[in-house]
Formats: sequence, C-alpha cells, structure tokens
Amino acid sequence: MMKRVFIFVIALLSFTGIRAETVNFTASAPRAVAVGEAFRISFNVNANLNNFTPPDFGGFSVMAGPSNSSSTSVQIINGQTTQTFMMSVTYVLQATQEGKLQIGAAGATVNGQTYQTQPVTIEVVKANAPQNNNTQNQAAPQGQPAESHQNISADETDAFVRIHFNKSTVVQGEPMNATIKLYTRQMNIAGFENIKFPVFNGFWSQDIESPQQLQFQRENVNGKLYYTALLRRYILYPQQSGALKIDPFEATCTMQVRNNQQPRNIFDSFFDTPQQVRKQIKSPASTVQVSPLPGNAPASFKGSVGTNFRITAAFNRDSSIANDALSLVVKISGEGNMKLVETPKVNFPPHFEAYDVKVTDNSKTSAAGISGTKQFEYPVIPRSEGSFDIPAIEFTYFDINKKQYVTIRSKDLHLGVAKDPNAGSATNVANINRQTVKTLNNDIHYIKASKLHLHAKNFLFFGTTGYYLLFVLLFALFVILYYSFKNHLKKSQDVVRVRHRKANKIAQHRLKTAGQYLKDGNSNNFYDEVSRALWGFLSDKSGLTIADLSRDAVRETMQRKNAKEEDINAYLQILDECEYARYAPGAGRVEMEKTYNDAIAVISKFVEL
Amino acid sequence: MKYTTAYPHTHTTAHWRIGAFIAALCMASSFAAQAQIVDSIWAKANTLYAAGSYDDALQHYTMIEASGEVSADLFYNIGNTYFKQNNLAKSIIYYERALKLHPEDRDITHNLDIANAVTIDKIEPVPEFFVTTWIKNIRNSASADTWAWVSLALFAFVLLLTWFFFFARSVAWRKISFILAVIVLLFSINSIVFAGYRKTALYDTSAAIITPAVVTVKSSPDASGKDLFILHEGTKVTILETLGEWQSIRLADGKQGWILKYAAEVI
Repeated sequence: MMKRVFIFVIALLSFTGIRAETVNFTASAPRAVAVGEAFRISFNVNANLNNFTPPDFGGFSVMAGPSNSSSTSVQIINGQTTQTFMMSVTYVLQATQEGKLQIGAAGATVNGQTYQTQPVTIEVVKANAPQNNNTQNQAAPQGQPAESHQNISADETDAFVRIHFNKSTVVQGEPMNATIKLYTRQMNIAGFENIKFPVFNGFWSQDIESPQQLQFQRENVNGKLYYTALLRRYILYPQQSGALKIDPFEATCTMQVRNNQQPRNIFDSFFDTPQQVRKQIKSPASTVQVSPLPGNAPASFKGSVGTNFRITAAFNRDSSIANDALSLVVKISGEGNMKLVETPKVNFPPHFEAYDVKVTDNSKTSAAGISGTKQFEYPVIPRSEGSFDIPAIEFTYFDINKKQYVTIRSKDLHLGVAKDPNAGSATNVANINRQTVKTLNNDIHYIKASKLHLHAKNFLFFGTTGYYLLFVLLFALFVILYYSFKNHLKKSQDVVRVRHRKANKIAQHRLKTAGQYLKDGNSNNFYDEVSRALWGFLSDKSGLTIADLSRDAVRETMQRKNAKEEDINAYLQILDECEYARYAPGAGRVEMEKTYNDAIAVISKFVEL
Repeated sequence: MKYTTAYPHTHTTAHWRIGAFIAALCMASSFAAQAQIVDSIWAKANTLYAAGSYDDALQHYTMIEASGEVSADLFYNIGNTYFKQNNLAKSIIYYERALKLHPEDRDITHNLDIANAVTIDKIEPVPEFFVTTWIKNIRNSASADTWAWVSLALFAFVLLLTWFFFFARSVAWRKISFILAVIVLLFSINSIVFAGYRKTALYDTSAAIITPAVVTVKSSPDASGKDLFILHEGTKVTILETLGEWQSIRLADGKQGWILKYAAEVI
C-alpha cells in the first residue's frame, strides 16, 4: 500500500492536471455469493475522486472499508504516451440472507461534477458447508489452485461445459449467439487437451470471442456457486430450416486437486503437492429450432436476411469512350450476414464486355450480428458507342423485423459512350476480331400483324372443276391454233411450190419472147423482157414478190440457196446490163446476143435450186 | 331517285337496274362491313398481344377463328399466344394447323421447332432414305394451289414445245423440243402429284397432339390394358383407328398403343 501511495504521489508530482476525457465511475462485485461469505465490492473511477458517497448496502453488512487505493499506468507506444489513472474505494461485505439483493448507487464528485454508479444486484445463495475458503481467491483474477486446508471433496473435480444460445427459435438467416461456458467449483483448471469445438452443421458460424486466458466469474447454478469462464462465443447464421442438432463441446480437462489423505507428518502438509486429475467434459447435446423463410420469395432473393439494407450503384465515370475500360460499383450495406450477400446480376447491354467482379467486404462482426458494406466492382469495356440504359439493380432480402421480403433497387443507370477516336484507323482494321453472332436467348418469332386474309376451309383451287377445265382449255387452244396454222401453212406453201415449179417455164417463155425481139432488133423490148425474165424467175424461186426484191435481197436469197458467188455476180451483172441498156439505148446486135446467151446460161445454173 | 343522288355514277333510270345494283352494293357492303369488323378485332388482338395481355388477345383471336374461315397468320398468332401462356400442346396444335396452310412459312417452322424443343418426349423418328427427305422437303416447300398453278404453267410450256416440234424448220430443233416436252410433261405430272399430296395432308385428320400433361399408353383399348409407355404434352402422334372411346396411335419412331380419345387433339 505504501508503494502504491508512493507511486501515486510521484504520479501527481510529475503529471499535474491529470484529466481524463470521460469520467468512468463503475461498481464491480461478484454476481453471486453464498450466505455468510465475505466478498469485495469496489467502486472505480478513472479520475481524481473528490467526494465519495457510499451506497446503500441493503441486506449486506459491511465487514471492512472503505479503503482507498489509486494506480497510474503510463504507456509509451511509438512515442505516444498514454496514461491511465485509476482510483478505487473498496468495501468488504457479507451477505446475511438468501435472495437477490441490491446495492444502491454510489455517488462521486469529480471536478465539481456528480457521477453515480448503476445499482448492483447480487444473488445470494444458501451457504454450502465448506465454503469459507474463497475469500482470498476472489481477488485473484486468474484460475489458481485454491488454497484450502480442507479435505478434497467432490466439489474439487466438479466441472462441466454448457453451450448457451441467446435465442431458442430463429428464422433461417437470423443471427444468433452460441456461448460455450466452463463451470467449475474451484478455479483449479490447469489446462485442456483434445479440445473438440462443435462444428455447427447447418449454420454459417464465426467465433467472435475466444479469450486466450480464462476469465472467471461467479454464477449461481441451481443454488450452487460456480466459477464460470467463457471459452468461446460464436455468431451463427442458420442456413437451413428445421430442428438443427448442435454437436457437443468435448475436451479433456486437467485439474489440480489436493490429496484427500490426511497429512501423515508435518512435511507432508508443508510440501503439499497438488495432484493432477484428468476429467472428460462434454456439453449436453442441444437443438435449435429454425423456422423456414416464407415461400413467396421474389426471384431476386438470394438468401440474404437482415435489416436496413441499402443499395447504391454508379459508374466510376459518367461518360466513357468506346473500347475504354470503366467499372460499375455496386454497394450493398446493411445489418445481416454480409458474407452471404451474393453478387447481384447486372444486365449489361450485349456489346459490353464484362469481366470478373471484384468483391470487397467491409463488414464488422459483433455479438449482435454482422453489419457493414459489401462492394462489387464490375469492370466492363463498352465495345461500341451510344447511349446505354442499364436497368436498376435489384436486391431482395428478408427483413427480420418486418418478417417479410423487401426488394430494394438502385437508381436506373445511364452511360453515354463516345466514339473511339482510334476506331477505323488503319492500325485497328487488322485487329478487328470478327465473331459469330452470339445467341443470347431463343424465343419464338413475333406474331404477324399484316392484314388478315381469311379464306374458306375448302378454299383449294387444286382439284376443282376450274382447275381441270384450264387444262382442257389450254389443250383446246393448242389444237385450234395448230389446225388453223397448219391450214394457213398448207395454203401458202402450195402457192410457193407452184410458183417454184413454174419458174423455169415462165423464164423460158420470156426468154423465147426476148429471142423474138432480138431477131427483130427491138433492143428496148429485148432488155425489158430479159430483165422481167430474170426478176420474175428469182421472185418465183424465193416466194417473194417483185416489189420486195432488191439487189441485196437477190444476193441474200441466192446465198441461202447455196448458189456460187461467181454465178450470183454474173446474174447481177446481166441485170445491170439490162438496166443500163434501157436508159442508154442503141446497143449493138452483138451485145444483145451476148446478154441473151448469158441470161440463158445463168438461169440454167439456177434451175436446180 | 335518292339512290342516284347518293351514288352519282349510276346514270341509269331503269328501275330493275337500280334494284340489282343496290342489291349488289348491299351484299358487297355487308361483306365489307364484316371484313372491317374482322380487321378491327384482328388489330385489337395484336395490340393486346403486344401489351402482354395474352388471355384477352386469345379471346379476340378465337372470335375470328369462330367465323369458320381459316388463315395461316391467324393460327400462327394463336399458337404464339398459347406459347406465351405456357400452353405447349395448344401452341403446337395451332402451329401445325398454320403449317398445313403455309408449309413454306419460315416463321411457323421456327416457332414450331422451338415449341417442340420444349416438349418432354424425345422421339427419334425412323430414319428414312435421304432422297425421300429431299422429295418431302421439295413437296412441302409450296402449298397445294402453288403446285396446281405450277402444273398448269408447265403444261402450257409442254404445249409450246409441242408447237415447236411440229413447226420447227430444222430437224435438230424438233428433236430438242420433243425431248424437252417429254421432260416438262413429267414435271407437270409430278406437280399435280405434289398438289395432290398437299391436299391430302391439308384435309388429313390423322395427325394429333397429346394435350394432357401425362398420358399412359395402353396395350389394348380398355383401362385394364397393360401400360406400354408414357407420353407427355405436345407430342405428335398419328391416329390409326378409333374404337369407342379409344383410339390407336403410332409415334414417329413406330411405337403403337391405345389412348383415350380426349388425350389427343387432331391438328
């Protein structure tokens, strides 16, 4: 005590004007005591206590106190100095009756301000016969073997484990706590072996408290005082419905137990060595009733349960350029199992290339559950320019408080994509990645909206009388045309043939007349007759009228009849001679003779044609 | 004379002529009015379909269907509406009906393929010779009337070639036109045969679609018959014969059995 006072004085001297930011005035006392047991209650304040008003101790009698003490601790971490000052007033009390007794509020004045502690409720249980050995141990914070001169009873090895749940029935996805607690009569646990923590099948679990050292507290269990220590605390999210069985906690616990033999001599009692006892401890099996979620879940529900969810979505840029990467950031925050929030589906336009989503989880885990923000980053590259609308992103969760599904939506997203300035340049053309048209979905073709043309059920033209009649008509038409044409052909062919046949005769006749004119020396009539004989011969042979005949027509007709070129020329030359002689009369007899003989020779050559 | 003022292009004053004209006009106008009503129902039904209210759209389509007249477009739209209502069997029935009228329409075949892809029963048809498939495809590429007109056109061509045969000047042309005439005549006859096939298929009532979700096919036409196999909604069957409340059916893969009449709707 002198030392503490000394430190206190030093502290006072060195750090004048100690002032804590917030004054903390608390009472600490065991939660359960036995009748007749002496225990401590201390009132602690982290500031200089000016005036202390003791509380109303009620059904407890004060055995000693008040005694004041104070402590200061200075911490220097990385050059940062923190100091803690603590002052406490301690009483030693004794319970005189059973039941839940209350100690009233204590008052204190610090720097002119008045503070009060919360009233403390202490459970007083019936005294066990050997229960007077804990007086000193209360102050000891850690589990140490009890210093007892009593014989060892069953109490010494009385230890068990229990798993406590803060809720017995939950909805699927609702957070709950499981606390594994160790109970001993003495704080004589030396260690654990073969620890088997429960697996929590059907739950998503995370331990939120797993103390390195056991912190013992006193508790009343069925009228007996136990030291309890928290071994581990979990937060559980049931993932399936029904009665979920929880595996027991198992461990082998080593306890230090005193010999229960009577000391044989003075040395025995002096060198009293505790004995190590191993004990198998196992928590009782327990089940948790998990009720399923209602069945009317919307399609966007992916199993998230909680409260106060919010969703925001935004592109990291308001506008972009084609072929330039950007990302859509979707943030979902709320109280619930953020770890199980699935990546929401975003329907990007088809020519957006979407890449793997980057997920960042900024959630805190506490006994009340998990809360925080989960961020989804969707990297995308728009491959074409344009103005794109992306529908609002939906997120559905089951609200535990409202007991119904709640769908939240981000606001509609809009992105303007400008044309890629590099697109279409020569360097890019080579890199164009041609691809087949992707089939996104298969659906039926749309209805036909053009004008409706109804027709009767027996609408077919095929097989009707009209159909067959058309065949008959076609055939009849053909037959009529055939016969009429044939008739016509016959007629015209007869005329031609007659003329053809008579051609030689007529030509001979005309030439004979021409020979008569030759004898008479009538050159005009002679050339006229020769010319008519030649033209008429051609006309009859070819079936053409004289009016249709010309020099070219003659040549053509002759060629068609395979006449020799020289003969044709000779023929035409005679015609020329005749023509010439008719306009320039006075030709000699010899010339006329020659023309006459030539004409006969030429016609004789064409007779067979 | 009121009528002549109403229709100034009727210049005649003879009473019987006016009467006949007005009678004709009334008939025409009543047909026109009816057509107008059908057109408005059709437009309304299409609007309802576009808006997604398929029940109402179907009601309007069936109003047109109740007139007794047929149209491939109408059946196609009804099929689409049933498909959107997830009534698979009905949609297949109507697609098949539309396909009967317009076997060459690609929209109908596409939608029928999609509807058939959703049916549960996967039936492998008995494999057929590839030439048969070709011929079938060619035959189904046009309707009966198209084939009828094709046959007429080909016949006219045959006559033209015959004309050439008779009146061509050179022997070579006569030979060519004769051979061609024979070939084209064969084609013309073939077109008539195809038209006949299409007509038979159009009035054929042996093809049917299974309408209930599940149907057990029995070995004999009574309830105590052995269960042969199970068919699901939308499967196409051929009705072979009918016996009381039962009908004998055959699948595309050759399996046969008996089902109750109500279980299959004729296309």
